[in-house]
Formats: sequence, structure tokens, C-alpha cells
Amino acid sequence: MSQPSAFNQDYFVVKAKENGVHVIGLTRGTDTRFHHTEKLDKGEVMIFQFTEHTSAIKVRGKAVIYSQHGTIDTTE
Amino acid sequence: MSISMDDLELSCWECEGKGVIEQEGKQQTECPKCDGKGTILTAQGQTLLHFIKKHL
Ligand SMILES: [Zn+2]
Repeated sequence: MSQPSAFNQDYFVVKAKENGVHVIGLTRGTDTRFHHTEKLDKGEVMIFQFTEHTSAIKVRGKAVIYSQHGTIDTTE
Repeated sequence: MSISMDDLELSCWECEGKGVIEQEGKQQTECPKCDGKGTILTAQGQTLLHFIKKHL
């Protein structure tokens, strides 16, 4: 299996609509642990990629998530 | 620039910061999501920890 280029990976954007939005990364593999977390304050934007270490991401709080599959507003 | 605690780590969502999972009528088990720590580091927290470990 060839190593996929980091630039071709799926990415998505989280924009916080309030202070204290939490984004948490879950590990890839047989057990899903939380290995990383991020706190975004209102208006802050972070761009995420799924990597060899992260296979799932959880967002808590009022935020807009933009991905190639569409836009999700967590308040709707 | 000041760094607050929640810029460095956040409470684990699974165990709500307790580090253990309580099952009804059973003994407590270490939270598998945070390895019993109760908190998960942010990128800033990991950077700071890595820096301090390296230079300690
Ligand atoms: Zn936990």
C-alpha cells in the first residue's frame, strides 16, 4: 500500500460559534482512545485532517463544521 | 500571552474527569479513553510538556 500524500487527505474545518468549543481526536486502531483535544474560542477556526493516528473526531459546543460532504451547524 | 489550564488540557468526556468508569453494581475500572488520567492534552499542552521533558 503506498503512503498517501498528506495533501490528498480529507480535511475539514471547524469554526467555533461560542467560547469553549471542544474538538477531540480519537485514535485509529482496535481501541479508540482520546489522544488529543483542542479548545476553540468564539470565531477561532481550525483545520483538521484524518491521519494515521486519528480516525475519528468529536466536536462539542456550538460550531460550524465544513467538509467536502457539506456543512454542519451543531446548533441546528 | 497567557495560558490557562483549559488551553493545556481538557476534562475527559468519557469519565467526566474522574479517570474511572463506574458501572452499576460493579467495581470501578480505569477509563480506557484517557488511560485513567481524567484529562486529555491539547496541542499546546503537548508542546509544553514535550519542551519541559526535553530540557529538564
Ligand atoms: Zn476518561
